[in-house]
Amino acid sequence: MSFTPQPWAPIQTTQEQLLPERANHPFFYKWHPSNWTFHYFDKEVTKGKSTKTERVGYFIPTIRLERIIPGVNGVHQINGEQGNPGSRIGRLQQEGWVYLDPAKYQYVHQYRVRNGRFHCPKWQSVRVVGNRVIKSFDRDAFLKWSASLIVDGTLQPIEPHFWELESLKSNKVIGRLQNTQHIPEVKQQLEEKYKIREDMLSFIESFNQKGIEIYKEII
Amino acid sequence: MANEITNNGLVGDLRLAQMISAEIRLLLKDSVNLRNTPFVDFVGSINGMGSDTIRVRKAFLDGEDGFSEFTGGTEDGAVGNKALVDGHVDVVCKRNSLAYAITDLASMTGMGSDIDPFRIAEHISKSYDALFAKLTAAVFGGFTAQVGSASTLSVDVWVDAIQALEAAASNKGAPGPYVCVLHPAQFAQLQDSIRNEANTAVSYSPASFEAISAKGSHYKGSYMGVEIYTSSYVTDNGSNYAAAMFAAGAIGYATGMPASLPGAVEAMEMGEVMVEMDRDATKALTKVVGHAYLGIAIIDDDRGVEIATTV
Repeated sequence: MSFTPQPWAPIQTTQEQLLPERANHPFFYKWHPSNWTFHYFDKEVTKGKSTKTERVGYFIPTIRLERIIPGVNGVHQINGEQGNPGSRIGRLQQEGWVYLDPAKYQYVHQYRVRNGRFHCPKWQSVRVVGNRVIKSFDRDAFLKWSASLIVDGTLQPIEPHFWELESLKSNKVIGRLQNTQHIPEVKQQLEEKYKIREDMLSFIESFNQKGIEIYKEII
Repeated sequence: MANEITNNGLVGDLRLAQMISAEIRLLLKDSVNLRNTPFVDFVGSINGMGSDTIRVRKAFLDGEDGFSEFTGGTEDGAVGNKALVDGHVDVVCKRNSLAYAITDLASMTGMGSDIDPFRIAEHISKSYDALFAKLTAAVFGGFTAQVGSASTLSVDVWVDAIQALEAAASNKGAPGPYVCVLHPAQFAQLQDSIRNEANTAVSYSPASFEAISAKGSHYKGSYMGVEIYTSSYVTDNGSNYAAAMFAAGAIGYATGMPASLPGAVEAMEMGEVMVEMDRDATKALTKVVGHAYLGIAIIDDDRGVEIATTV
């Protein structure tokens, strides 16, 4: 009896490309009317025939991220690490938070990783070099999106009282630095703080005149 | 000369290419948490309670300063009832599990202090601390009050956080002492800022050896009366870390523990973790499975502040 040999071939394996990151939970964004940050944007200003770029400060809503983790802050477990944030969102809204639905605003990106998915904001870019994950966040784009939510009326109410509190905070820092302003480095810091405070106050003044239209200049 | 006896020549017959060490060195871990400190409250066990959720009741009692204000109460006027301020928070327990499987061959070839089902069971029970640290860090983003934002953690932000707590609930103030859990990178930022301070009136007290022994390796000392812990589980949103400073009563947790496991071959209650052994004889495999039921939540939002500083 004779046998016919089959040619040998290596076993074909297809290895799935996975991001070398730990799995994490999905998230949603939320905003509380008291949470603001002062941020500078480049703005083109035309004076006569010349146009130049100036750095202009704006109070931008601090939109915060909350991960949906079963067992944390009243989130019920649906299946494994999947949670139902319904009651949590309801509670946040009772406390004055504005919930930004990820399905509506499409800000969540996800990657396949071992044992699950890695969820991150769409403004975060992820690269892998030498099996290391390099992440960078486009803060400017994120803040412009945050500002756009004021213009379209999603984030309300806008209350300048909280901006005044922020400018008062900067006053405290100024007061502390004034004691040592004979040190050149401190003097420089002090001047920067003066400038920020002035810019905060001038923004509040502009807002009182123009209203939320002021945010259209940057989005 | 020829036929010298060399080590290279003996490898494979009389010598080994490698000899494994008798002791297994442990890799770095991060499992220090606030469970056994006054800063995190135990709100109860769900065992036999009829629900996986513990509702923590809250009421404003013993501090009403208004008495007859705005409710009548002149010399002969009828006094009106005052509305009682109350609320609640739900702490939902969730099943957390960790499982390993080890073959008999892997177990029997172990040498010295090595991996076997019982060592794995111990590992699972000790990992509860890391789970607790992770879930604790996950609640920080829930605090409404926030300091920091577009800057690194500096002494100024630190003072803002303390003052936010001192002015909490319309200046009623959260009673101290306070504790702060920072991402290690934030702690480095704070150290840099403290180093650059010209004012030495408030100095940083680093953790002593005794304090580290008592409070764990991630206890870093105190600054302005606030105890500092670091945790790699502090989350970030891509641009900012979400750490927190808080007082006792801000965060609470609930637990559960299965009372009996009908059908379980071998089950051990190891601290807060129920560890079971399961046997698959056809595969010569021992499974070691741990379950912990834990829920954690912000109990009093006024007693904490998120410290958001740049990544």
